Amino acid sequence: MTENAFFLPLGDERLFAFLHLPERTCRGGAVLCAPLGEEKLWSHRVFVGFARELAAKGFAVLRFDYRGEGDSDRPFEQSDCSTRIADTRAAIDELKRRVPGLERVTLAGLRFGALMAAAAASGRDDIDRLVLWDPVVDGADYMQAVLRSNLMAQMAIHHKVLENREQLIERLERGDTVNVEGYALAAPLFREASALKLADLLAANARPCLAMSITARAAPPRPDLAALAGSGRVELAAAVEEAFWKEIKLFYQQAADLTRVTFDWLGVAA
Amino acid sequence: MSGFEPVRFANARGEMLHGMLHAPPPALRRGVCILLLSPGIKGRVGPHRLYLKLAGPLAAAGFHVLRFDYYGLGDSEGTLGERVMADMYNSIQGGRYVDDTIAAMDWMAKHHGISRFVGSGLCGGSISALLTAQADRRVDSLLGIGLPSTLEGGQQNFDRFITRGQLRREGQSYLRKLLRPEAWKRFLSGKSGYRLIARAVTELVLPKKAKAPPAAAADGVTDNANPLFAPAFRAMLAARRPILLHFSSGDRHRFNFGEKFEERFADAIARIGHPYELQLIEGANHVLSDPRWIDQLLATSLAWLDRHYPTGGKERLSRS
Repeated sequence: MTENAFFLPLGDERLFAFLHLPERTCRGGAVLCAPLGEEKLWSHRVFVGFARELAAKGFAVLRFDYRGEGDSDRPFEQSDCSTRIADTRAAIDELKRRVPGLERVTLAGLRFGALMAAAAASGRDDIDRLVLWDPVVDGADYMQAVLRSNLMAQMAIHHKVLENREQLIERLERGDTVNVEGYALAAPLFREASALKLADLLAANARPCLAMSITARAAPPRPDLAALAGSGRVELAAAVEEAFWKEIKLFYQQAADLTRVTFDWLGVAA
Repeated sequence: MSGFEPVRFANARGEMLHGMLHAPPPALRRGVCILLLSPGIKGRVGPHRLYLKLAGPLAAAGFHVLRFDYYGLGDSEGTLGERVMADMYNSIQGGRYVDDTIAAMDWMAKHHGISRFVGSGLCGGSISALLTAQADRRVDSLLGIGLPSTLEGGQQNFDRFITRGQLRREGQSYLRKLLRPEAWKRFLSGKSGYRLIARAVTELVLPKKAKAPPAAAADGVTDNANPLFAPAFRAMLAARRPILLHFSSGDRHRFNFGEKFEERFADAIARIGHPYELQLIEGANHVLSDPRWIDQLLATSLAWLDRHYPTGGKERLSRS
């Protein structure tokens, strides 16, 4: 396997990308879409481990940082869903450009990254499969949860809530930002994300799609995911893993069950 | 945020480490590299991209800045054996990444001709810098951010080693919750840490009666101070290398440093007679999530760097 870190030019900006190439013939390609903010950092090593395992099975795998995150350009507050979708599409194009003969790509994403993957896939005919790990199903609910982390930070720092959720939303509407674990959330990301629903994005989906629940103990798929089963060609699955995208006691380097279930579905021998 | 490029180099184990090198404008180059060492799992970008926010201004001031992922973390090769986060952090505090940091300096020396380094980083990055300084003289100074001087809990419960400063803060927090129904609900649920609450409130209300941490416990663990910390810090002082430490005012590492290093080794520190500087960032949290806290950190750091690495100065005046 060979690995190569590089910057992908995007107009006058740069997207950081990391390419994992298989040792021998390439049997397919995959682009991985990271979750938002600190969830990306906590889950980073699982992404790296998954990419390396998939590359060892013969896939070319591209990971990348959205603009506003990681080593890519832009301050976070100047990024939104539109930039994330454009970045994902640029990453798909770059993988195809770098791997001769690769015409179709599998797109996989975790949490908010899954929502972005579904959005980036729509309207493209070069995405052969979509893998959604613990996807955000309702962008509005997710943005409310993001704001909740600001409220928790207020409690930790000031021992009381100085600005409630409605005031935070007013602040966004005025053009100010809201600090979410050190990231400056601005109105465009909040507004665009709040308008997204995974079911809408998948309604016209004609490609195979795996929507996977991730729970610490064996359990049926989440009810909100189960509701997706009627959308497009969605199949449901469940993996037993801790919430490795959060700060937990365990040090997660690989998500073995998530990898196993995904590889089974992709038809890749684990 | 551009102005940096991907770099990679092998460590002593033959694993490829991936990083980013920020180069200063040629006219301002000071011939010194700041190593922004990874805090741990959050890798070379740090929490909320803190390391990018720091590296840009530091490079603009004339310093090369190298930030990279240690083996087993971030994009780098290698795997780690720990399954518990605290154990992984303890391995960092035990010097796991000294060799990787030396490999980074070797690479900078070979490819950029730089042999003077400022060891820096948040939390685990700071302790890696300090321990590397003890092993390699090229670490010329220490710019610490939330430097830990104790070990993490891991399989042990280290609540009993909590500092009195932390106890006072905890006590204040519990008193503030007295009028909150949800706090009482939790208290009555049986899920609260009653021993810690009792100690914290006692320390706050009757500080003279608060018991010192136990001298020895049944498991033989007597303290959570990192045994490598004091020798490394004292060696750096004895070598008269500059040290600037930043702590967030509410950070447990600040209290640990004060009570488990400064107080215990006050005589030895005084005998060495080489001062270190300490800056408190008032109201900040451990990861400096507010831009104002980062601005303060940068302002004091740049002033300190200017004193020790003046523009155009080949040698620092205070260097022995």
